[in-house]
Amino acid sequence: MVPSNLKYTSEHEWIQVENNRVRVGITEYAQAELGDVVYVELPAVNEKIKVKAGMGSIESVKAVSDVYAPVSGEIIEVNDELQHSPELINQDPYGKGWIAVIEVSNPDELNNLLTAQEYQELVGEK
Amino acid sequence: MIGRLLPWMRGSAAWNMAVDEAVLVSYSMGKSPMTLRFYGWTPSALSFGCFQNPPSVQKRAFYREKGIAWVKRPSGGRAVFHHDELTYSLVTGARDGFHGPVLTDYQRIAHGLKKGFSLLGLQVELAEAPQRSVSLPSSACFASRSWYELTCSGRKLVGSAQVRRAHSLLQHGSIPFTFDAGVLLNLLEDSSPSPIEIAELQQSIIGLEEALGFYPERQTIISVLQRGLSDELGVEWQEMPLTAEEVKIAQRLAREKYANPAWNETRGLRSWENGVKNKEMEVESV
Repeated sequence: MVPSNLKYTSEHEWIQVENNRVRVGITEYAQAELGDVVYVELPAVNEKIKVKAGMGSIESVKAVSDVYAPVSGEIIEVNDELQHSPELINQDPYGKGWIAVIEVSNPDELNNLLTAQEYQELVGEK
Repeated sequence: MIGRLLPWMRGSAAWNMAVDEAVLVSYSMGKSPMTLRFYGWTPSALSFGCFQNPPSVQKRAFYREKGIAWVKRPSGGRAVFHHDELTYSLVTGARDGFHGPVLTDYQRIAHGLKKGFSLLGLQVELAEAPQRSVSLPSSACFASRSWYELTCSGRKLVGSAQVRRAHSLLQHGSIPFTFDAGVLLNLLEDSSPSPIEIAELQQSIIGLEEALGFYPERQTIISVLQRGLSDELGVEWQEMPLTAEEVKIAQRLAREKYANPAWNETRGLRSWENGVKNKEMEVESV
């Protein structure tokens, strides 16, 4: 089951909306797809990002995969713990494995995110 | 299903990486089919995983002196010395049945390569569990073995890595014909490697010549690997060249990315991507 209090993207990111900010990570499904994560390249604090553009990369045992921005805005916090413990993404994707907090510049984009039910249907089909 | 087999080519380090990425870009836009490619490197070159630390200034000078090129790959993993070897790359994705997970897709390709080697009577296994040498340096790709890595007599035969983007994937890998651990360690390490280190690395890797008992023809290896992949993936390969658009993308990537110190001399993907983004924003604001 995917947590019902979060929003999602079809790129397998979860989004926790906190007023005008969103906390972002990758889903349980995504971490299982990637396998053991060995390195996470985080965005920089104060970096401006555009929706659907790359905002980071994850290296798992055999592959490098992009992390896409779910909304446009500015990075205001990143999870530095991942630099030393990238395995947190595998161990606790919805908790200690969060990636970044974004200050949202276009709140309308939040309406394009998937609900938990929609995301469940998406991964259920796979 | 029809796939494209690109003609054999030998290129510079920057060109080789640029072509691999150009095909990935074109495939992800729906403009190119699944594509298999075999290629060589001239001059011989080291390729580094995109999240490795770039070689030191002293090491770069050493490479220049030896006439060895080097490049940062778009994929992860560790350093590979492309000398007396065959490199393959496969670009495919979700529309050809490669939906992930990563290891499942990796395993399918490994099975195809394994079938190819079996046509030469070579007994190849897929490593079932990660294994890493305790004493070997971490920078050499072949010093470690992970899931579904192809091995022969327990020694690594092929080192591969993937990049996944927009429901598409590029997997490329190196198949050494001969392997000299002392040469590789001297290229990668700041201090001289000990005889134990050299012996251990030499014992963890096997080149095709040693595995087969004779030095193979390059075309024979290409032929059996394409047949193995054809059988495993259900693809009929048709030899076709790069499209004009792919050539254009590759030329730009070779010039602006893979021959560019801003890409090669930094760790990771972000600083280069942000540099490109800032440059584009400057152009937009003019």
